[in-house]
Amino acid sequence: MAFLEVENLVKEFTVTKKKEGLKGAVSSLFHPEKYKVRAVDNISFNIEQGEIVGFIGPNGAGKSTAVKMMTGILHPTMGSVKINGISPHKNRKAVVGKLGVVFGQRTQLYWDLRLGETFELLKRIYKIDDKMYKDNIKMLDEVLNITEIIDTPVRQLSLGQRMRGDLAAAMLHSPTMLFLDEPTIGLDIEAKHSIRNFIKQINERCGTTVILTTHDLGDVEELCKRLIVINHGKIVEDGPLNSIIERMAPYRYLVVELASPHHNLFHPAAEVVKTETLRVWFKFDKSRIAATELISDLSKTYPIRDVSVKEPDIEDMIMEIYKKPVIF
Amino acid sequence: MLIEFNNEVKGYVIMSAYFYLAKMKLLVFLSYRFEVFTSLGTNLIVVLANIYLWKAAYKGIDSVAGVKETQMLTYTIMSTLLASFFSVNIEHALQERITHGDIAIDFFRPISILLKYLAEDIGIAISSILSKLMPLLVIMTVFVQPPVPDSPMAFVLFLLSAVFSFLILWLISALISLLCFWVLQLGEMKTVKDGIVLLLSGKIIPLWLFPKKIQRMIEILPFQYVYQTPLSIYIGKVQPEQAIVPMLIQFAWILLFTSLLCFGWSRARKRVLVQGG
Amino acid sequence: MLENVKYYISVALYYFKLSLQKQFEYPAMIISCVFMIPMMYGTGILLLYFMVHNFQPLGGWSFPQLAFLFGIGYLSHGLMMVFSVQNWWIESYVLRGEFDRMLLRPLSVFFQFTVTYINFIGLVDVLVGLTIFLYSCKLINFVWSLHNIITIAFVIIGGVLIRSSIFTIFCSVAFWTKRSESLFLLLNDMLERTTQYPMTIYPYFVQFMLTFIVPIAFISFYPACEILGKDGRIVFPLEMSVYTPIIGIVMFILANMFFNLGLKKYESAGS
Ligand SMILES: Nc1ncnc2c1ncn2[C@@H]1O[C@H](COP(=O)(O)OP(=O)(O)O)[C@@H](O)[C@H]1O
Ligand SMILES: [Mg+2]
Repeated sequence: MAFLEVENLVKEFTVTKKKEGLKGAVSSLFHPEKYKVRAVDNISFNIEQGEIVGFIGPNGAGKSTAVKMMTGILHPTMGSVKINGISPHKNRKAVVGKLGVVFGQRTQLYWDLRLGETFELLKRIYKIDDKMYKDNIKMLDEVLNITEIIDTPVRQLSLGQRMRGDLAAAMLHSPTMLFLDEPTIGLDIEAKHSIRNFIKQINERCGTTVILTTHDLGDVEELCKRLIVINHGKIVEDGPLNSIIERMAPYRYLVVELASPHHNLFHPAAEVVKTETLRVWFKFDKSRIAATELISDLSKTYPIRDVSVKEPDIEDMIMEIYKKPVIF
Repeated sequence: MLIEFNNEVKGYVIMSAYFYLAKMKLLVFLSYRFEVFTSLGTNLIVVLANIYLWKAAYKGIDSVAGVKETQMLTYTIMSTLLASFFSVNIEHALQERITHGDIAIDFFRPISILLKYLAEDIGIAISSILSKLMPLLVIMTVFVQPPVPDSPMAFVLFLLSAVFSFLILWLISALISLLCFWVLQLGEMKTVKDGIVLLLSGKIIPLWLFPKKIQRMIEILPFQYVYQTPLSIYIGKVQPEQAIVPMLIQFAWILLFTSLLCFGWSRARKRVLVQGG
Repeated sequence: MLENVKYYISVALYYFKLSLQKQFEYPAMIISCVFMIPMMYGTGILLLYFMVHNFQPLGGWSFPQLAFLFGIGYLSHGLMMVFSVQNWWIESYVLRGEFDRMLLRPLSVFFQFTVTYINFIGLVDVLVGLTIFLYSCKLINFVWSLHNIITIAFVIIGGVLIRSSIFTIFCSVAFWTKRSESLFLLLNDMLERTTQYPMTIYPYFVQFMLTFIVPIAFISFYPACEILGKDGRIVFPLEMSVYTPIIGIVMFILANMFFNLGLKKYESAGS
């Protein structure tokens, strides 16, 4: 039995359509028009204890909706979630006591009050005893420098500080599983770095399982051994980072440096994707043509000074996903 | 450069801009389907409760202070209709802009921000004729009694007087929101004002029921000109030939408040420009 | 069991502390309410006074009796304002996804929602209500016997429960419709008009509905009838010190159930 089991999860939302103009407004008054949106469309996967799994996909792909269902906030239209064998929808209280959840877009902290007040409240809600509370604050201080901001009203915190506060609040009760929905959104490099460091640390030190949704490829490259790629509510890829890149983007780039400017470079098995005055990028499929073959072909016709082969990175892979048409 | 731009804008463009603002407000309101129905329900409850209350009070009594039961019921119905028409939003809107510091930008707009809010409030008022006033009027006419005016002349004067009332109420609200420039934390002055209007305008309690001394004191204040004046004209408690005096007083209040507003506004403008917002 | 009760109380008390701190961040709000609330309810009681004074006792109720009715009703209104204004915000909680936070905590959401905000400004209402109530007690020569005191206490506690539950039930509609804030105003007006005036001025079917469908009449009307010895049109075999609190508890349980039913429909907020 896996630690987190997600089976055939579906979520549909009903949305009311607004009609235009005065006539439309009056007609909506009596006959509002409704339609359904499938935000999450039949996804299934398992996650083992101690994993860090990245959930990526474009805006509106359904990542947040999936996280909300896994954490028991939303009831699925169909399908099931089990954490440690228990469904958060049937037995919410038993499950959520062991979870930590952070939404980057929305804070769980009390806006008007000191950060520490939220901690004190959580201490009572989660029945955290004094020793554990002290230990955890100490640990969180080491990774997130939490004592530096604990007495500041939350509304006066910078975005990065607030995120640190949110992460600390989610870890106070030593959850076994942490869900982070876009934890690095809108942060500067330094703040991003400290948050990535935090995730790594708690995963190593406490063995916390982490599910992380993000747009930031840096997050994924640095943290996640496993990726789940989601688009239009469906899982399109699930596996180790490298093999996904291999599958999604099975091409290479050949960067050619010319001795003199030359126009209209051409090769039947490769595509020119970018040109600078003396540099040209060829994109080629390595199953169709080997790099050596391409280089020798090109050097026959053009004045080439230097070449280099570039592997696609995760960014290229994401581009591929975004371009992929949806098939219903 | 800004001043040049100001002169270039022709009156026609400005008028259509106001019209557009008013129309937008109407559309926004109608899109709140739920609110349209609940506010009708709220008004119904209030007016029906008042009607039963007055019926109980009048049981076996012909008239009090020269007002008969049917007149009083008409008064109550019309008061609810007027209240649903008098929705004024300027305090809220202006305070929002002041606290967020957006107001400095508004002073440079070709359209005066005050007129903009007036246009929006008129938009809301007109939309409430459609969404609140008419349904309530129909229900009252069918199930209780048609709130008939005392005479055609009374009706015409009532309409004019009600427009004055709207302006007085709007100006009071605008003046109060102007205070926000000086006392940022004034906060909920609006609720205090609403309380005073409720008590002293004749909206709920006709002022002729107050002891004579208090009546005379209330007459000095502008509040009774918001509800009591048009309503008394409508039911014939004040006959058309007597109506000229209270309506002139209404007009005087409008002039006074308008000049106060213009004065206060220019002071506020200077203050914002000097302090840089 | 005792451990559990202690746990819930410690959480609730901490929530109270937080709401007190929050409110003192906005002093202007407090000050304006201190002015506004007495004015609003003063208008209500003045209207009754002028009516009786200029016309006649309303439906056979003299001014002191009306004030007594008004006072009982207003006291439970004030306490409701202290403990359950948050019903007003169910709509915005739903629209802004504020229940997410509560759903993530290992505690009943209804409990968290109930204790999440204590509106100390509502104490102004309580104070005004208390003044009117005590004044009317003096006017009607109310006997402060133990029995009467217990009756009043039970009636007021029951009244608060009935009021809060009505708001919870109706405002929970927002879980389905995404809207209910304006319903709060409607209900507030309805409760005001039906708890402050004797129901005998309304048609019989209104009173019937407000007795057996939405039990508003038990908040102040029947208790006042009983204490003042007035005719309430419908006669009940037991005392109101039994009915009002029991109906209050039943309503509260119903409200809890309805709220939880709605919570299943909760959709968080699209980001
Ligand atoms: N509460 C909601 N009501 C209606 N539609 C929603 C709601 N939440 C999300 N959606 C829709 O579901 C889709 C997925 O949204 P979301 O899960 O937030 O995507 P992501 O987090 O991947 O950007 C979007 O089309 C969004 O508009
Ligand atoms: Mg999202």
